[in-house]
Amino acid sequence: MPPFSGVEPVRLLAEAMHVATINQALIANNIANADTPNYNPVSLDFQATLRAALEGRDSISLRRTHVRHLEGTRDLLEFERLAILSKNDYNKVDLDHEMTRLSENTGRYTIYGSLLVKRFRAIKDMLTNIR
Amino acid sequence: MLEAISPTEIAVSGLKAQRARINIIANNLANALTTRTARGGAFRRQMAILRGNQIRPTTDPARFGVKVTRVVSDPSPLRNVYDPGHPDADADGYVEYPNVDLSVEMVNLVSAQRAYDANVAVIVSGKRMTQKALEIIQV
Repeated sequence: MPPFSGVEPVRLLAEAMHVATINQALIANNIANADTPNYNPVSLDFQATLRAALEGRDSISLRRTHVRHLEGTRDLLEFERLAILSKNDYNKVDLDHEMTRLSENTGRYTIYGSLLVKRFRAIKDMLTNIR
Repeated sequence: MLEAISPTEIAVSGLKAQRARINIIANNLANALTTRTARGGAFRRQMAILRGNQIRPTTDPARFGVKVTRVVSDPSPLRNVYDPGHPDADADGYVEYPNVDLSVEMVNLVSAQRAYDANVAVIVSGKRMTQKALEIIQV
């Protein structure tokens, strides 16, 4: 069975776009801190976060409105531990890696957006040809 | 809370910080031979201290991104050059020149420039994402 079977496509795509937006912010923060001493880059487990969002679990504070609401939930952010230390200021950001992830994430978002457009266009076509 | 952060804002903070670094490097290079400053003595190389935050679900969204918190002077020793004819020479004929190393500044300049470009790329892709989102309402 496919991982997200039974989920309404529009909802799945909308949530996926939302998770991609959060991911984009994390990557942006990693890139902005490319020269900050002691900074450890973070990444997001896309599938797990998306599943959590669809199931309404508040693992990564999707739909949270206040910072304090998060207490006691599992943290889906992954801190990168495998990064090779190549700078002497203990900064572990690999700019090439982050740029790759940035374009991958933008690609994801674009694909989800296109699919959503297709879906709505199909519904619209159906409605206009109803007579 | 994570939806309260905008990737573009974070990238803009990165742009600002890298531009500040480039400005400081430019100032260091311009003053590579300055022997008189307002504080007295030769110019000392300056460095920007960057400060950022790890994103964690408990981090205040207002504190994402990166910031130049301080500009400090490099305490390493100044360069002593024998030049008795110089008006700032000491009794032995030595002049203290700034501790600015051209190659170090150049390396830092290139690294700041690359980091600046990376932040620009984030903004460009953010724009592409917004455009895609807008396409949905044009159906």
